[in-house]
Amino acid sequence: MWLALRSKISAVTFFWFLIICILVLPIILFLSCAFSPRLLDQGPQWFTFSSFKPVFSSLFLVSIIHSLILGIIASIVAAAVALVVAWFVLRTNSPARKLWNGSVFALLLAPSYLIALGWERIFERGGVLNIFHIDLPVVRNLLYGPVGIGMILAFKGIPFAYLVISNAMRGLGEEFEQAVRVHGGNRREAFRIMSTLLLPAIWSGVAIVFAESISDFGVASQLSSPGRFSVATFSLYRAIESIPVLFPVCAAVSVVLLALVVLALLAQSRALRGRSFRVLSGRTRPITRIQLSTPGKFFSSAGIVFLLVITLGVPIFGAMSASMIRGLGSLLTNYSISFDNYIRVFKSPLLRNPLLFSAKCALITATVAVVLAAVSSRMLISTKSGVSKKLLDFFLLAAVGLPGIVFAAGYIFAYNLPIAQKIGFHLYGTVALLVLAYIATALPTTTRSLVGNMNQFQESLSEACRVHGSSAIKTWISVVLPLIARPLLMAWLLTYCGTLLELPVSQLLFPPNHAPLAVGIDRTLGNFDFGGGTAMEVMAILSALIVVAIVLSLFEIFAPQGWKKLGKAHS
Amino acid sequence: MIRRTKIAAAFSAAAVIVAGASFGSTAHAADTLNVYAALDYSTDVTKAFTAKTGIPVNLVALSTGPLLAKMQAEKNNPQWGIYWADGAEPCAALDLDKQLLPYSPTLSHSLSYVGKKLTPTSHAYNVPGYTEMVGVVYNAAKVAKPRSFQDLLTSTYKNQVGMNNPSISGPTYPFIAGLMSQLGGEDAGKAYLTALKANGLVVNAKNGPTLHALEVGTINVALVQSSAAINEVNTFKAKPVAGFNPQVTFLSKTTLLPSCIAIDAKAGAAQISAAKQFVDFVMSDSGQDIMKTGAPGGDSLFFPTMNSRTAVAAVTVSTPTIANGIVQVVDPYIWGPKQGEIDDWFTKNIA
Repeated sequence: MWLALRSKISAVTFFWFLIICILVLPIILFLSCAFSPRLLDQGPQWFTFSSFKPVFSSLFLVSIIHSLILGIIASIVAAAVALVVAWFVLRTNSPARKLWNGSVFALLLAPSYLIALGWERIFERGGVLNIFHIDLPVVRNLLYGPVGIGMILAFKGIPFAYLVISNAMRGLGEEFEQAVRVHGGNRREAFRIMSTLLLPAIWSGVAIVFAESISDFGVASQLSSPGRFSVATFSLYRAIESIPVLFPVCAAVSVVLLALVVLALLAQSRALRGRSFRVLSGRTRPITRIQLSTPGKFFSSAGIVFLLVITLGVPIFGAMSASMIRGLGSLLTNYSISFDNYIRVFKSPLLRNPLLFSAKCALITATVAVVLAAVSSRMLISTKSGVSKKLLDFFLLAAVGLPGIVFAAGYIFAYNLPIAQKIGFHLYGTVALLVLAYIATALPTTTRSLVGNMNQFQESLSEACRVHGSSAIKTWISVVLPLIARPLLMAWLLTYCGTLLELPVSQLLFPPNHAPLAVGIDRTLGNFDFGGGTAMEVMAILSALIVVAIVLSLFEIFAPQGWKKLGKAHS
Repeated sequence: MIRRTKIAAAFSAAAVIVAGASFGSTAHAADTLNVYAALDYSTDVTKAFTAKTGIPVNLVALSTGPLLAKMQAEKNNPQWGIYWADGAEPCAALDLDKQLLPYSPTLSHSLSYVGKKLTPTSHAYNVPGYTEMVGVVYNAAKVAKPRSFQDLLTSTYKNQVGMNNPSISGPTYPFIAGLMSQLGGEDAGKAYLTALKANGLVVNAKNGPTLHALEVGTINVALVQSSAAINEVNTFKAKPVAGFNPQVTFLSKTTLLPSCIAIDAKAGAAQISAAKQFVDFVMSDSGQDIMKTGAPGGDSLFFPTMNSRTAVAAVTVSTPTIANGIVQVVDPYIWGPKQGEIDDWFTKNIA
């Protein structure tokens, strides 16, 4: 009987069942609230468009335009910077390349509020520049507005875009650049050709940063009063803060946000249509690093160091100012440095137990999400343009475009249904559901981070292996895995780091008595313990960096040579 | 290719199942009391309650906004037994929606005059303590002590005053409601806030940024929750910094912000029974003692509502009394439903 059942339910069916459970169902149920509040006991109407009323207000329309412009600017800037940095780091002998490789995960982990905080501390009245008797009101006004918000969203997007683009660049052999040079092209033209071949990865990076930017609320609320510069998510958070909470309005706003995500998808699809980017083959040649001249080394290193200072140094300073420095600012002559907050939270149960709990959840989430993402990314790059592929693409980006708190509300709608409880299906309120939600949250980004690599893979490699009698499993292990091992590892680390400090989903779905780390930090910050909360955040980031270092070291020590060869450059 | 996809999908499915199974379930059991709380001493209080009664407690501790969002999302199948947070407006809304079970605690006869004024006659919810909105923290090294809300409109305080945005900071709305109530209505309150803005009011998101603005000298008067104000003064009293001398004062009239505890009317019989015992415990001396020590520097800096109780020693200001006319209670059943419209107006015109 089991065999008969198994023959009817394929693994692909099960994959789709899982995707429907963890992505489609929560998103659809949440969005349905906009049209039928009664369905989930969120209002009296069975069918209505009244939830869209706030969406058509002039304030909201302006907010949408703000979000759209910010998203486009942040995503393009982040992808462009990431592309240039990846080229210097992977293709040249720029001395600062190792510094960047060591810092990119720290950059990824830096919460946007710490980046914003660091910039505030420098430019605010009574801030660091004031200590040195420098006052730049024009810069301060720019920072506390769209320019500052766009800049920080772009900074936050750079590591995402870099990881996606650099993974793909590793799979791009030297032969394409050599071909350009042989035919008389200069280095700039070679870079242009290489950029074109990397388009799937660049678009993936742009899509991720765009979706992250339009769903962000923290940076805008930190740097600008919503009354002065509102973003689309402001209306959504207003509806959440209302008493009672107006989920139908949240859902209506989400529908609009998702329409923006569809626009991003259409742009991506139009840009890549009918082109092939399969460059990873048995003939892919190892790269020889370009030897920069002395001025080249100097300027490339200075550029990378400058980028690190503004993207990483500033949030580090923000964290220090919040957790270690007392009396910064107008208390000019009398500030001191203290580790009191760190000593205090190190002993606190609010840090220790939640950190271990979140680390376990992140470990499982990263492992499962990477496997699912490998499958999803293969489906997304499939040459067949079926409905299922488009639906998968849409729901994967929808999960990024929806702010975490409403995505989590969708999970409550889906898994707290009275009927589920009546039939004994008690998933709501468990750690398992929290982990499933983490997986669903991580899956879009993890998938996008692999799409660029999967797009480069030539099917002929595995087909040749199969023709010579190798089994499917052996083919995957001996041909596919070596080529995507490093991207998989990077995707795992990306997911682990992202999950460890995840807040919105954790807040709504954590099981009683098992508060995740981000919830503990949020509670500490909410209890006026700003120094302690930031110290907890810094220690959590350090713990994640230790995990990153350990995992990368284990890969270097234990992975077969062939796995590490792809993307390695000769000096 | 299809085969490979199948293998990977099967592996992922297995991994999910293993993950779920290995983590086990912590879903709610019928004999367990589910407490949803936004007060930091709730962890200690629930532990002490279990130790005393043997009733296990599932605690969901969050800040008020996410907590209410969770409860609203659960509305078609409520999981909470007890709701406990600052602010009466959410409880009034839940009561109007018939979600609350009225309960008069065994010690309700010991409520102080203020406690009785803050508790609805139906006992739809109960009030074990309260803070004030707003506590006015001013840097005495830079500005004179403000004496009234009208003072803040004078040139002495031009560009000196900061407050939170009620759209983002939950406790700020009761302050605005109280201001409007005492000034004669919504329009008069809006006129006052418009004048305050014209005098250079700085609006920040929450208590933290507003107090930081005070510390760095961007402002010299901060309108924040009394517990945050008292903590700020105590922090710098313990470790003084030259040029910064925060002091706290209260302007007439200050609005009382009750911490409210309520029982879910739709909960099962066992949970309701446990919830009633929990409310009794919170109002008892044992419960109140833990509330005073569970979150020093934060939520523990409250004023008790029971006759026999006093605030923790760190609360260096005198307990407010309604009799002297300095404090007031606003009706959450009247002002709660107006919150959305007033917050929107504030955001568009003041923030």
